[in-house]
Formats: sequence, structure tokens, C-alpha cells
Amino acid sequence: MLPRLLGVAQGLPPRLALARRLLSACPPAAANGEEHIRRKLQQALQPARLAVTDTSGGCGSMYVVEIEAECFRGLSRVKQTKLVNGLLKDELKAMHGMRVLCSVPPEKP
Amino acid sequence: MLTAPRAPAVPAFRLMAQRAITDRAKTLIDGAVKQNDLVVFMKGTPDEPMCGFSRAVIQILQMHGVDEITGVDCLQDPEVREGIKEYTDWPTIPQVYVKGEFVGGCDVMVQMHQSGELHELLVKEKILSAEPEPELKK
Repeated sequence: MLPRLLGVAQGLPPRLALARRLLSACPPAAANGEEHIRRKLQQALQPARLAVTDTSGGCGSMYVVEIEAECFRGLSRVKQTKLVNGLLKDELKAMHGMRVLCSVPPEKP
Repeated sequence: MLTAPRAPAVPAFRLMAQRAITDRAKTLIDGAVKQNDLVVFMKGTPDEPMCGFSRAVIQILQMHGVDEITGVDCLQDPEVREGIKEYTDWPTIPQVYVKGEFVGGCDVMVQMHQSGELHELLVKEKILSAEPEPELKK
């Protein structure tokens, strides 16, 4: 009933309208979410390596953050992760969860 | 002129309620952390984990030879479920405590397992009695 109404409103066959809604709802937000988090961490921690991936299938509810940064050196894993969590405190509220994998760059000889 | 009615105790409590942890939850968590050498705050029980991340932590500990794991099932108690996040200042469940110290969540445990730190910690804190050392370090 609902898809049909929407389809009529947009002048599209009901199924097409529903498909378009489902397809268009997630990807842009997901891309922005990854980029937003990436930028924030990049600025604050200046990592040597950084990858942010939305693993929730595109809805921004679960991210994996892989981050290698000099500023982690000498900190316990818990403290490293807390640095990242702290920066993303607000973003975390809207997520189901976030995996954070921290590492320290290999020491230069 | 009207005098403002005296504020009853409830609104003060409501203000406090912005903080997720209740006194009851804090007492429960404190007790579990202090009375157990190792405790896992998790979803489900060690025998029947209800979440992949909780399951992974239990499996890692078992792999290292920790036979009796004390678990606190956060799904059974909404106050503990929210409270533990604030207690540890850590946003996710599971959470592992050894000898009163927060060790980490799932990812930290996996990384410590891979690097050998977890074995070291379990031996150092005497969670594992003997040392059937699988990795050679000389």
C-alpha cells in the first residue's frame, strides 16, 4: 500500500519506486560517514596509515577503523583505542558499534 | 509574589540520570570486578554467548587455557548493560577485566592474542598457573 502510493506520487511503477528508495537511502550517507571519520582522525592524530570502512552494508551503523600512528607509541592498547573513541564520541552514539585496530609505525633504524 | 516551590528530590535524580550508571549497577559491577581475578562483561554467558564479539573473547580465553570464566550477562540487566560502558569509559561490550584492571574489548583481546601479550598477561597475573609456553622467546 505504502510503496504503491509513493509510486503513484512519483509517477513510477510501485516496485521501481520502492527499489529506488531503498537503493538511494544508504550509499551517500555511508560514503560521507567514512570520509567524515577519516578526516577527523587524520587531523587529530596525523596517522601514518588510516583506513575507515563502513561494514554495516552501507548504513553507518558499524565501522572498522584501522589506524597506525606515531602518537600511539608507548601507550597501552586500551589508551590507544580510547584516544580514537574519544574523538568520535558523538559519532559513536549513532552507531551500533565500531571496531578500532590501532598500531604503532615500525621504528626507523 | 510567588515563591518557587521547593524542588523535590526527583528532579535532582533526573539530572543525575543523564549519567548512564546507577548506584545499583555500580555496586554490582564493582563487586564483579573486585571479587573475580578474571571477569567478562558480555552478551550471553560463557557457555552460550549471544553475540559474535562476546563469543570471540570467550574462545580466545579458552584457547589460552582459561577453564573457568566468570561472565556477567549484560542482556539480563539493562542497568549493567549501560552502566558498564560508563564505568570503563568504553563504548562497547564485551569488556574483560583481570585483577581489577580493564584489559580490553574484543579487538584488543584479538590483537593481544596475536602478539603474545595475552599469554604473558595471563601468566603474570597467575590466571594460568603453569606455563606450557607455546611460543619460544629467547
